[in-house]
Amino acid sequence: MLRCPALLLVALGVAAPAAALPVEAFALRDHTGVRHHLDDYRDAKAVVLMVQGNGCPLVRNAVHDLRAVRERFHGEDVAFLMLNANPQDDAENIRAEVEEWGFDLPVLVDETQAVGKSLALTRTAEVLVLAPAWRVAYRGPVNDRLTYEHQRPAARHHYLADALAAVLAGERPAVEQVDGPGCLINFAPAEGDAPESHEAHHGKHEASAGSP
Amino acid sequence: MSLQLRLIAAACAAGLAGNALALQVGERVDNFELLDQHGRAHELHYLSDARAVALMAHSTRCDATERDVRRFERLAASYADKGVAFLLLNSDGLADRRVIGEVSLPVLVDEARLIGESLGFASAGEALLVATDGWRLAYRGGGGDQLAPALDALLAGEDVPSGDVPGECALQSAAAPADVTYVDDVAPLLIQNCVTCHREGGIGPWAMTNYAMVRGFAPMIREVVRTRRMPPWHADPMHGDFANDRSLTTDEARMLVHWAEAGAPRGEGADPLAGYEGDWPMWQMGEPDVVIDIPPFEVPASGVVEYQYPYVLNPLEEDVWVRGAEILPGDRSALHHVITSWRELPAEGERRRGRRGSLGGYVPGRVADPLPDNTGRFFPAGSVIVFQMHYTPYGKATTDRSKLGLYLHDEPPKHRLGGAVLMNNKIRIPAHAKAHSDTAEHTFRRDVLVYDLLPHAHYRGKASEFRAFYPDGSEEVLLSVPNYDFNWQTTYVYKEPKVLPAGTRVVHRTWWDNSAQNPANPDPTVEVPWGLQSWHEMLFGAIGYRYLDEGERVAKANAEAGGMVSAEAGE
Repeated sequence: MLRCPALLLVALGVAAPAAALPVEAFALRDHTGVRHHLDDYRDAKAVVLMVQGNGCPLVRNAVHDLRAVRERFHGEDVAFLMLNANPQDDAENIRAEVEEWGFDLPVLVDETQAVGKSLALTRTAEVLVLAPAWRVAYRGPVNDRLTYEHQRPAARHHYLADALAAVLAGERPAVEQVDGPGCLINFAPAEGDAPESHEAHHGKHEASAGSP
Repeated sequence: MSLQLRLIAAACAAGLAGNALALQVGERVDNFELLDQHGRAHELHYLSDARAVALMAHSTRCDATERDVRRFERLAASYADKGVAFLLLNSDGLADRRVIGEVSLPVLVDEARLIGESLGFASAGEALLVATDGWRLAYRGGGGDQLAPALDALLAGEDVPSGDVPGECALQSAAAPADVTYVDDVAPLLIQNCVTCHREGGIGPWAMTNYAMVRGFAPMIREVVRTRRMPPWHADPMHGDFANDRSLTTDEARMLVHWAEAGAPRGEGADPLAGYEGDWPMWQMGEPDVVIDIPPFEVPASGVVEYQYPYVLNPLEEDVWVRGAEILPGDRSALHHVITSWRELPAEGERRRGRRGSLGGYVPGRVADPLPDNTGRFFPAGSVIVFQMHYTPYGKATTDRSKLGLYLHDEPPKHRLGGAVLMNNKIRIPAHAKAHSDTAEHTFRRDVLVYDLLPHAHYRGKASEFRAFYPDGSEEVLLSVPNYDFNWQTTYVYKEPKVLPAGTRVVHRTWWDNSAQNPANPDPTVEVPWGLQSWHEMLFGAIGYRYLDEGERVAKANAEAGGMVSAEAGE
């Protein structure tokens, strides 16, 4: 019986229409050490959060599609951020990934995975459109161009752009949630049995906290 | 949401009866891919255009299965037009799928039992209903009288009544391997099978550099093994024995997935992957006799690049015999595949088409192999080398500068390696077709020894096979690729080269999926003709072979007289 409340939470978070999910405000440092509070963006008409993970080919490809959406909504008061909730990534190796792949957005480092869990994230390359008063207006892929190991020349459905256009017009997006491809995020609790993993965790903490 | 919440409420009300470890109603059903009794591939999440999927546990050891299967078949027939897919799943330790009798529905063969375990199937006749919207388990219970009302409720968006799980035929359970750890079991397997690509500078997108990385990707490892995306090997193991087989054994797959499901435990001792340096020489076959620069190409950061066909004049002044060829990729992440061929330029005033030949190819992760002993490929002076270069943008603009290395025979080899091409440029794939197929064929006029087989299609390629029709009237599947993947242009190399007697007709059949369910399909709304570019399609098979020589033919005839055919080349 213990599982039932947990299942209900899972259902609300993952399977519920995105618009029903209120988002608890959070504060995280990005990969350069700058602290971002969600409420810093309270004057934006929407915040777009792309889930990033080092080494995931779908993210590396999807950022180009995301860039096209950013250009389209340039000057429209939409904030764009990335968020990394991978247990294996830290500020230091995220900086390396950002530099190598030319990401030009702050990557919020969710080292405790608390934000990732509260947003019910499961995979990277997902984007969340957070509308004012912080509710999820859309969650899913940027578009339908990418799938595992394959990409098409052009997308047929531009989910993110359509959702943003709706939010900016004060409407609910026609499509609020889409199952998209991405790399699974490991949310399993780490066993405290590995000396290396303690060191890695310690290092991660320092890298983040030690930055200005 | 209301449906999902109702499902969960129902599960809670039912007190989560039954197997405590089983997947519960309301939980997500993860994707998987399995072959059925006919060797066709089925992927669960491909069925997203259905409204629901009904799955029933199958066994060949249970007397009640016959009755259950017939009932399930009748139900499938009555729900055929209501958007419900019906599948049987055998997770009962079936050693040979040919013992499955006449069943009109697909029976998925879960040899490793990983899928049946994760679905929580305990007994033959047990059935599940999966709502494809969100892939939630909607029902667990009997496959008989209870199933239709449950289906009706699900389709009507009403509360799905809970079912009673039958218990008359417990499925054989296999003990989960105990105490699998990263240090002792997983890392050695990854070193053996994966790190040649998944390393710094390798084509694999992420590098298996230490425990933290591998643990982080453990759920993804589980997914790619269950869906057979990795390792990239697509042949049905029932047909043919191939030297370059990179699949995992059933035990290896079980070990890896159970390890991920157990939370990816590390174990004690030094990390085998930390600082691991494999033997990755620049040229896998050693320094080539001739190195030819392929014209560089600028690969953009994103999008789709059509095939490039750069060419280079053969720099050699004499005809040579090639004993091996190797491509040194300039950018391993961008270079998807290379097919190298040569053609003679027509002499001045001559209209006749010149001779043509192959020099081999490259696919990621391929270990270069020299040609078989005593064989070679002819490569004439004055010819032009044409490269078919396929690049895949991977997020970063790059310039590829690949090279071709040739290894030459000092003397002409005893046997000339030939290639038969089975192609059909009349193909017309209807719009939205899910499994259109067509064929090409070739009849060998002399006895041949076949070394390898290469099926080739484009993004709509779904499955492919080579089938031999022997002069005595019998037939044999030489190679079946039930889940063709354009990403992996694999040449399937026989462990023991195969003799095909004179008169053997080989039929190469390819199936294409031009529907919207194929996520790689550039456009499901058009009829697709033959074409060189990837938005067109191909039915193109290649067979690498040589003729049997006189001595071998005599030996073969003697062996046949003795009642057996020998594949020994008798060199």
